[in-house]
Formats: sequence, structure tokens, C-alpha cells
Amino acid sequence: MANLADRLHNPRPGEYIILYIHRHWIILFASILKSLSLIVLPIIVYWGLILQGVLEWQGLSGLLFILGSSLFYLYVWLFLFNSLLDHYLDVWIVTNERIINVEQINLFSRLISEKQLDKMQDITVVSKGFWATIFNYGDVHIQTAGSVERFVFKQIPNPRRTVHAITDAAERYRIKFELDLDDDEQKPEKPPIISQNE
Amino acid sequence: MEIQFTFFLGIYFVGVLAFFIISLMNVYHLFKYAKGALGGKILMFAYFLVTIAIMAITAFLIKDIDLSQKITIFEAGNMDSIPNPF
Repeated sequence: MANLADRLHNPRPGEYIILYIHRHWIILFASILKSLSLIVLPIIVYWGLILQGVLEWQGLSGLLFILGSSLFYLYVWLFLFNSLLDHYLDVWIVTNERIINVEQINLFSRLISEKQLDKMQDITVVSKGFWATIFNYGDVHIQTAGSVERFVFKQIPNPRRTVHAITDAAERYRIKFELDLDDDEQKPEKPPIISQNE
Repeated sequence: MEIQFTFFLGIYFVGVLAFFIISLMNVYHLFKYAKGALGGKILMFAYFLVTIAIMAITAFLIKDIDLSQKITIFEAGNMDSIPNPF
């Protein structure tokens, strides 16, 4: 069982993690593949310039080609790193009390939302397309008591198992919540606290 | 009008500077939000390693180029290459 304090900024006493989900690895793999395909672009340009006989290593064309390629590779690497960052920082956590959605929207914006398990209304699994079917990933939409659908677990692996785990956890939480309420009703009412100054 | 090769190197460094500002924002995000951060540390290490490697390769490739060379865009007193607007 993962230690909640290592994973969350605001752990609650008695809370533990049931699921800690990142996007499916194939999404990251697709981004890496895109970046790798961009890597060959300066090589193609290099061969084109060599064949045309316009590239002169000691001259201006050589300098511009090297500096341009260097900047290009730096920005491709930045793009790739953003994909890695997105994969690493987009996380959905299900604990025994709540669900937490941590999403890196882009470099400078981030969304963190959480909801008690008893506030969930219904859960939908959307698994669209050839690759989603082959690699068993999809979106899980969680409708909460509010008017806005706040929780979408995007492109997560094994969405049906996740839904099963969430509904199971929500059911346990409701039972625990009802038991706690019953206990409170059976307890004798405490006298109101009166301030010493009054 | 002549432009020295170092001018292009200057443009390159402006690009690299912009790149580094964006990278620092990246790393800041990683530090601020990633908990249980072994993966974060590995990512950051890889990030700086690859960035420095690309710049080192660039420096290695341009070391033989004489940067005091100049390229002539217009010859002095000859404005023929400027299109006549009238």
C-alpha cells in the first residue's frame, strides 16, 4: 500500500490509497514516436543540401545549419519533455474517502480537484477506437453531485477494473458513513459549550 | 552592409535563453507538484543531461568555423539589390 503522505499534499488521518493511476503508457509512447520522427528532419535537410551542393561546413550555410538544427533539437526535446512531464504529473488518485484529479493542462496551468466518494452519482466508461480497444485503455467519466462533471480519468489503463474499484470503494465509504451516523445518534447529546466570559 | 557570423551566434543564444526560461518553468512545476519524487529526479537529470549534450555537440561542430567571417548583403555605394518602389 502506497504511503499517502508521499503522494499527496493534504493526507487525512486514516486515509489510504486504493488506486494511483497515470495515463496508459501507449499515449506517452505515441508522443515519443512523434518526437523521434521529428529528429530525422534536419538529417533529411542535410542530405538535401549536400545533394544540391550548397552546404559549406566552414561557411555561412554550415553555421546556420548547425545553429538551426541545434535550436530545432532543443525545442523537440522540450516538446518530448513536456509529454513526459504531462504523463508524470497527470494523476488520478482513489483513496478510501475521496477521488483526486491532478491534471497538468499545459506548462503554466494545473487543475486539482477532489470529491468525497459519497458525492459520486454515476460512472461512465468510454473506450473509443482501434488502439483503445487493442491496448485496453479509455476514459472514465464520474458525474458528481454538482452541475459540472468534474472528473474525467483520461486514457487510463483498464478502465473497467478502475470503475469496479471506485464503485466498491464508494459503497464501503457509504456503509462506513452510515455506521458513523448511527453511532452519533446513539451517543448522548453533549451539553452546549458555554464560554467562560459569558 | 556586412554582417559578422557572430550575429547569428547571438540569435542562437537568444533562442537558447528562451529555451532555458521555459525549461526552468518545467523544472519548477516538477519540483512543486511531483511528490514521491524519484521519477521526477530522474526526469530532471535526463532533461539537463540531454540539453547540455545538444549544446556541447553544437559547440563542438562550430569550433572550426571562423566566426570573424562576414557576409556582405549590400556592397557599399551600390543599392542595386534594393528593389525600386517607384
